[in-house]
Formats: sequence, C-alpha cells, structure tokens
Amino acid sequence: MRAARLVLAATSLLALLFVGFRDLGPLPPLGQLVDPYRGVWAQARAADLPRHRTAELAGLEDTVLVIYDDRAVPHIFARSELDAYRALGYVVARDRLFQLEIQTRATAGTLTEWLGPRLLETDRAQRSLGLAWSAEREWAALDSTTLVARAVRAYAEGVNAWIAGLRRRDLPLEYHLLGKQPMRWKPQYSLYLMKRMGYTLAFNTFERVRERLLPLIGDSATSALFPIHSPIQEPAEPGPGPYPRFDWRRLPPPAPLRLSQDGRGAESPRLPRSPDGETGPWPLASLARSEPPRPRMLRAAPHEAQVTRSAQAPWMSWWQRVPAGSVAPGLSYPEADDAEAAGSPDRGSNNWAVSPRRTARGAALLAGDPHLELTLPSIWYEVHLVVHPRLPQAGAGARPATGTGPAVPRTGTAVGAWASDDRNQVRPAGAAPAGDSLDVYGVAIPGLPGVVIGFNRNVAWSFTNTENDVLDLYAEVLDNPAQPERYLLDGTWQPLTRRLERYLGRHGEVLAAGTIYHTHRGPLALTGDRATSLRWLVLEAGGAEGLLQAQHAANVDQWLEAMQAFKTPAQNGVVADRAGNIAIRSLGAFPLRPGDGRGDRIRDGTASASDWIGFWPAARQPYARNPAQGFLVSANQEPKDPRVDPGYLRANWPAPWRAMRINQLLRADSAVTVDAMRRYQTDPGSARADALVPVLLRLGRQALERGDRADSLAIRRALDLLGQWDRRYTKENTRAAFFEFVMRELQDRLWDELSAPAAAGRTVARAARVATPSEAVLLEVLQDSTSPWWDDRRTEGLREDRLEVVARSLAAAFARALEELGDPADTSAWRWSRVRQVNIYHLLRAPSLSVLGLPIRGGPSTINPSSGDGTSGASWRMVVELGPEVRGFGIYPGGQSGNPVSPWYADRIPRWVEGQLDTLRFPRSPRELDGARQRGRLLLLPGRSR
Amino acid sequence: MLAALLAAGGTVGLGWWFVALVGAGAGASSQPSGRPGLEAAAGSALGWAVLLGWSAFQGPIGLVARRVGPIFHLSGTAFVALTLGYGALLAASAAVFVAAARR
Repeated sequence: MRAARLVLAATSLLALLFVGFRDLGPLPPLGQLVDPYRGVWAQARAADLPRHRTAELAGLEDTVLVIYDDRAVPHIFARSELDAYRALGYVVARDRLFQLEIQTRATAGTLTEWLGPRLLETDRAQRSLGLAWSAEREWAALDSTTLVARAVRAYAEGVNAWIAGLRRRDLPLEYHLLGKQPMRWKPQYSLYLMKRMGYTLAFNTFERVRERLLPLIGDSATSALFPIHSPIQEPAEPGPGPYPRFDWRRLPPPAPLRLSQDGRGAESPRLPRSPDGETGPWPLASLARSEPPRPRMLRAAPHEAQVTRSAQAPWMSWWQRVPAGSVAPGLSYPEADDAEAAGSPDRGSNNWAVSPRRTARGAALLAGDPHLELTLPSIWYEVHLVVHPRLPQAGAGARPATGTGPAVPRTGTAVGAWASDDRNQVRPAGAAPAGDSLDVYGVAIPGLPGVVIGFNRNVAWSFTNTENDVLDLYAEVLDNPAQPERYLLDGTWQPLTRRLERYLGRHGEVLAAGTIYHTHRGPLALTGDRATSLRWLVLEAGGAEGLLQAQHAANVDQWLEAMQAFKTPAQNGVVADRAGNIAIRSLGAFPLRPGDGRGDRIRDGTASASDWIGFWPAARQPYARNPAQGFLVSANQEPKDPRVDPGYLRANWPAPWRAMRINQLLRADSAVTVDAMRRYQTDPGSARADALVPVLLRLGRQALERGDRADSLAIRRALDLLGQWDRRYTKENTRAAFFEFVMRELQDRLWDELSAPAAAGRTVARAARVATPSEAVLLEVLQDSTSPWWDDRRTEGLREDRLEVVARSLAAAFARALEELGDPADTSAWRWSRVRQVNIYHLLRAPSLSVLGLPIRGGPSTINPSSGDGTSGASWRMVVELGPEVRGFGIYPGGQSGNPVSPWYADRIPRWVEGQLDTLRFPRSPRELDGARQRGRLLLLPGRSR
Repeated sequence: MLAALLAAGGTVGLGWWFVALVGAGAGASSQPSGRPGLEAAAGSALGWAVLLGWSAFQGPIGLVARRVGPIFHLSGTAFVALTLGYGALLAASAAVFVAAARR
C-alpha cells in the first residue's frame, strides 16, 4: 500500500512537473502558463498605461517625454528626430511586441520556429519569394549615414530597450501561449516590413491567370475581358472629361475551347500547366488555394462557423486551425494573385482632398481611408512625434552639451522646459523645414519608424494603392531542370545564383532545407519541367526614405518632392496644405517594358531583350495640382485617362465604382465640411448599383414581355425585390442582399466560358472560374444584346441571348435567396447586417481574442466596402482640416494596445462600426495634455547598453 | 495558512514550482495521522488564490480568464479552476510522495 502510494505520488509529481516545464505539442508549459504571478494572469497587471514611469533607454541622446492621451496615443516630445524614433520603438514594443515579431517572422519565413512544421509550406513560399533576402541585401548596401539607416537603427534601439527590460511576467499573452521568448530586434527588420507592405500591395501575378485563360477563350478575348484600360473612366488625374466616361467596346467572341489531353493549352505550348493551374512555389501557390469554394452564396456568420469548428477540436485547436496563410494577416493576401480579386468590389482604399473654395470654412480638407486586412491588434499604431532641437531654457540639472545637441535638462526639468516651449515653433505654411524639427501626427506601422499617413502643422496626406504592375514572370530554359546550374540567355548559358534555406522547428531542430535559385531577374520557380523567374520591383527598391522626409514637408510641393524617393509599392498620394493647395501623384516606380510595353503576359526569359528598359519619367506619372474642379479623388481606379496616356500600368483594373461615388458626392457639395467628409467615408450609396440595377430591371421586364415562361413568377418576384431596393447598403437594408444574389447568378451564367474544363457543367460555376472580369466589363456586355458571351457553352444545341441569361439569373437568384434567407417578408434574415459582417481576428485567429460578427454599413464597391469574409475594411479613417489650426479626426478598428485584456485593445471598434471619428489631440506642448486628457506619462532617460 | 503564505511568497519570489516544495515540506513535517496532501493542496490553492486576488486589484483578472480560457476550450471559471487545481495537485503530489517516503 505504501509502495503503491509512493509510486502513484511520484508519477503524479513527475507528470505535473513535466507538463509544468515542457510544452506538449501545441500546449505550452502549463506551470509557466498558469503561474498566478508570472503567467498569463500577469496580463491583468499590465493592462493599463504607465501612470508615471521613468525608464532608461540605451542610445538615447537626450531625455524624451512620452505622454499618453485619453485615447492611449503616445505624444513623444524629443530633442532629436532619432531620439523620437528610439522612443517610438520603445512604446510600440511596449504595446505591440508580439505583432512586431510575428509579422517579421511571417515575412522572414520562420514561423515554423514558433508554430511547428505545419507552417513549413508557408515559410517555404515566403523564402522562395525572397522578401527577407532582399531586405538583408538592401540593408547591407545601405549607406549608414542615410536617414533611413539611422532611423531604423534608432528604432531598433528603442525596441530592444523594452525587450531588455522585460521580465517573464511582462511578456505579452501570446508568448505565454506559445511558450516562447521575444527575439532581439534587428534594424533591418524594419526593411522586412517595407517589403511586406510591397507584398501586400504589389504582388500581382496576373500573367499566370492569363495563361490559364488562353486555352479557354483565346488571346484576343482574354485581352478584351481583362483589358489594360478600364471601360469606365473616372481617373485620379482629371483629364479631358467629362467623367465618368463609358468607353463601350464590342467584345470579340471566345475562341473555341482548345485543350490537349494533358491539359496543356494549345495556345501556349511551351508554358505547360498543371491540372490545378497555379503551381509555383511562391506564396500564391500555397495561399491562393487555402480558401475552399463557397457552397453558399452568402456566408454564414463567421463567428457561428468558428463555434462549430471549435467544438470539433480539443485543446489548442485554434493553432491547428490557423490557415497556413492567415498568420499575421496583412501578409496573407491570396487574393493578390487572383484576377477575380483584383477586380473584386469587396475591398479598396480611398483618399480625396477638397480645395478651400469648395469647403464651408474655406480651408482645404483631406480624407483618407486605406483598406487592408483588419486584425487585432491593428496594422496601424497612432502616434504624435514632436521634435524640437532647441530648448528655450535649460533648467537646473542640465548636463554639458554633447556633440549631438544642446544642453539638456535631466529628469524632472524636461517637462517644465517642454511646457515653456509653447507655440513659437510653428512654421507658417510654405516655410522650409527647420532642420531637425518635426511635429507630425498620424498612424505608423509597428516596426517602421515614422508616420505613414497623417499630418503635420502644415500638410496632410494619405495613400491609396496605385495597383500598377511591378512584377513580371519570365519563362526560363535551364540546363538541367532537376538540378539546375545554368539558364539560357541570349544563346549562352549563365550561372544561376543560389541561396540555401534551412527551416527550424520549435525546438531548433532542422525541419527541412532547400535551395532557392536566382537568375539576374530574381528568384526562380521550378515546377516539373518548367522554370519561371520573377522580376519584382519590391525585391529591388524601397521607399522608407521618402516617407521619413515627407513628414517634414511644409507644403504640398515639398511633400511631393520628398516622396520622389518612394519607389514601391506605388501609391496614389493625396496631399493638401494650409495654403489651400491640393495635389495628387501616383508615387513610385513604373516599369517600362520592351515591345508592346505590356506586363500581363509571361515573357521569354531566354532573351535579355525581354527585360525592363527603364521606368516612367516622373513627369509622365499621374499627377494633378489644384484642378479646376476643386477636388481630387483616388480609389484604386486607373489613375490616368488612357486618352491622355495609353501607357500600360496593369491589366484588369477594378471598376471605378468607389471613385465614381466619391466624385458624385463631391460634385454635388460645394460647401464641404469635416462632418460631410466623415459621412462620405461610410456612405452606403453605390455607383455600382446605380449603374447595374436599372439595366437589370429593364432587361428583366423585356424578358417577361417576350412571352410566357415557366419561371415567370420567380422573375416577377425578383424584379419586385430589385425594384424595391433604394440601392443603399445600410445595415437595416433588406434588399441589398438580393442584388448580390442576382450579380452572382448573372456572373456565373455570363462567364461560363471562363470555368476550368474539369468544372464544365457544374452548377456552381464560380467555384471553378479561373478569373472574373471586372464589373465594368460586365456592364459593357450588358449593353450589347448580340454579344457572343451571352451564349452558354454548357448548353449544347441552344443559343442563349441576353434576355434569356438575365431572366434565368433573376429566377435563380430568387430561388437561392429563398433557400438561404427564407421568405422576403421575414426581413430580419434579409437585413444587410445579417448578411455581411466584419470579423476582426486576432493575429493568431483565436476567436476569444477576436471581435467577430460586427454589422457593417457598406457593400461591394461602396466607399466603405465590405469583404465577403469580413476580414478587410477601412484600416484607418482620417479627415484633416487645414485651417489656421490644423484639426485632425480619425479612427481605426481596434485599439493602441496589443494586450487583449487592456481597455485599449479594442476600444475603438464600436465607434468605428458607427462611422464615427475621434478628435485627434495635436498638442503643441505637454501642457496641453494635462488633466483628464492625460492617461499616462513616461520619461525616458539616456541609459546604459545592456 | 503557513502553507498558503509560503506558496504565495515562494511563487512570487521564485516561481510556480515552489508549491511543490511547499508540498514537500508539508509532507516532511506531517504527523502519521495527518493528511499532508490535503493540507498542501489547500494551502497552495489558497496561496495562489491570494495572488490572483491581488492581481484582480490591479487589473481585469476576469477578462484574462474569459479571453484565455476559451483558447483551451474552457470557460473563464474553469480556467481559474485549472490554475488553482494545478497548483493544488502539484503540492499534494509532492506532499504525499514525501510523506510516503518518510514512513
């Protein structure tokens, strides 16, 4: 008995100690996890802001004061720009350390070291693409005296100062869950994140989609359905107008289906395809396939789906369920490769500026809302950086001046000194930047020094993605596809360069190794006997210098000049200043290609004549300044009217519905106010619906008038529902959902030719459609009653026409809507808020750390577009009035803190859902943040290196 | 009560594993007729509960439970119970083991 008790107790003790110290699969060490002092429970004690804290920061030149306002935004008062970046690194690490690391790991392809071998393919894809590799190369070549080099080094010092001071109980929750410690932050990680931005915004391999289309419909039809110029023009750079302009064409018919038995397209004999089409090792291969076909037209509320899945899996099942491409969202843009998504109405960014003569208060107004994947914590971090190099008075305790700055007050005097600094640092509009001074407010990307979108005392700016094509694919010929050493170029064999990649597991074990090959163009994808190299501007250039310099601009011209250094990802920068100037420029490098100049086809890699021949001169890039119309708008539309410049920027532009709607609103408003700008950002009106619904109603009625049909009743009901709709995507709207059913059915029927052969004859054609043309092309076809595209290839012996297809679509939409939503009279199920919701997932997709199922005002292609799965949207909304005093308003869906139990974790989401903006505090001195406006104070002192 | 104090203080000072030492101490000092496992478990659970209570004064402990518990498919209450139960079991195992070895 005693022996048994002894053995039992020993076994129990050993087992408990074992699970206490060691992780078991995805389960972290239990003892460390539940430790009531140092484990996850310690999160509660770190939830709030530091009330009054002093800390040392190695590398700091002078004292820096950080004041957190009542929205938990840090206002950083420093005496040098580099000190401001050190402090920024420190406060960002305090609030977002896990985010910093996971997005860096996702970019570097080292997620397996955290999450194990199931992320191996994701890591392989990332490393094959070479984002981290190119960032390291860029860092090695970077002149250490440049602002970028000094800024990212300073930022790293700040991050590492925070990490060095961390005790186990200070670790963010996610480190407890993963059983890991934070890594030291290297300066070049900031460059990784610039590359990551490039991947998010400028990774578009439409060439591959096009290649898969060729055997289905032929070259001329592919070019027509996925044109290099949008059939609807509402350009960012106002041209000859009037706009919107509809450049309707008659589309050529699809070529006969031409597939050989092995699935190769007859029109591209030297570019074999796998049965699944996309097969390269780049991220698109692993990520683009991660989304299963949608069996339902409209998705179930994602939080319900989460509950269902959760019930099936034990313990840390969220980890096992993390989709390979979804860790650190923002990086995972499978849609980036998909032509369907490229033309998708579900997402997009907006910015616009209004001249003083069209505003109620006579001051320029600027609005911006970049749309990205929504996550918790947010991709953005709000901050105010104030740099004054000269203190008017140095109080007692000052130490001798160093070589880098004036006499500096030590602890306790800094606050008073800052307070006395008052308002005399403000420059008049138009003045040149005063040396090292800076006073900029806006949103930064955690991991990058400086404000990306925001305003200073004179200028405000925001970006939308230009969406231009900066990535080309080249079909290469290798000496030995199995073990290549050389590639053919201009008749001679050139050596391939290689890099060896090792993939480590959670405990440092080697999971796999692989060789990545490069031609002079870039990384090589090897698939069977096929080799494709990639030239991608993101791997060659950056843009951080431009962003950093632009923060100093005193007027529009200085801002535009500074942003000339920005190369990629190309952005439509809208800028306004206090002098009343507004401007827009598509910023970045625009490749020039030989021949027809197009980049939407896979090029011959055996000839150097296929390579880029330069870049657009700056003067040719889309640009406008103080236009006669009094406002400027960009919303990811084709930025320049092809009648002004027919040069190639990309193929398959999304329809400019959002640009049309914003222009419509601004044309109708000659006295724009801040509040109107705010309302426009969540305007539920739809240019898309305004264009399409009348056409569908007319054609549906014509179909009924043509004669009795078996489905006449369903068509009538469908027309009734469509006719009842006010074409607005308000939350309570009960007819918007039906329009989406109709659109889905119409596209399935119209674009049957674009379905892969394996799926021919399937009812749900969309699931297998290679790509979906833009809705501008759809509207174009709707104008043409005799277009050959109306015929359904799947119905042999029948020739459908426009009225027939529209009628069938309406009837089918009605049937599907009844099936999925029930009786239209039961309006609760039909409410838009039930159909489309926003889901803001935590970076690890753990539902309990996420905010899911939020109602949203906005639908496909509205100014506030909602995505199908609800995971993308307005990542930041900002309105700035550039009057005598600059006033800023903004919000993002989340909160400043990455700590899920902090009151600042998701505090802004309710206001964001309602379309409200917070007043952004833009103090000139710390004194303006006294009292209730101040929630925390941190004094950073120059400290020793650890 | 002494066990609870030791469990709380040792956890703060050294780490979660200190409750095993508290249990071992309870086992070593127990009378033949005593119930060292129960005493150690109760003391450990109480000590850790005090620590959680102390944390609750400084932040949202309940929210931690509600956020973290579901990750492990537990309710917030169950996650609290897991925490206290783990400490208690650890201390009890050590106490029973030492007491049995001593006799």
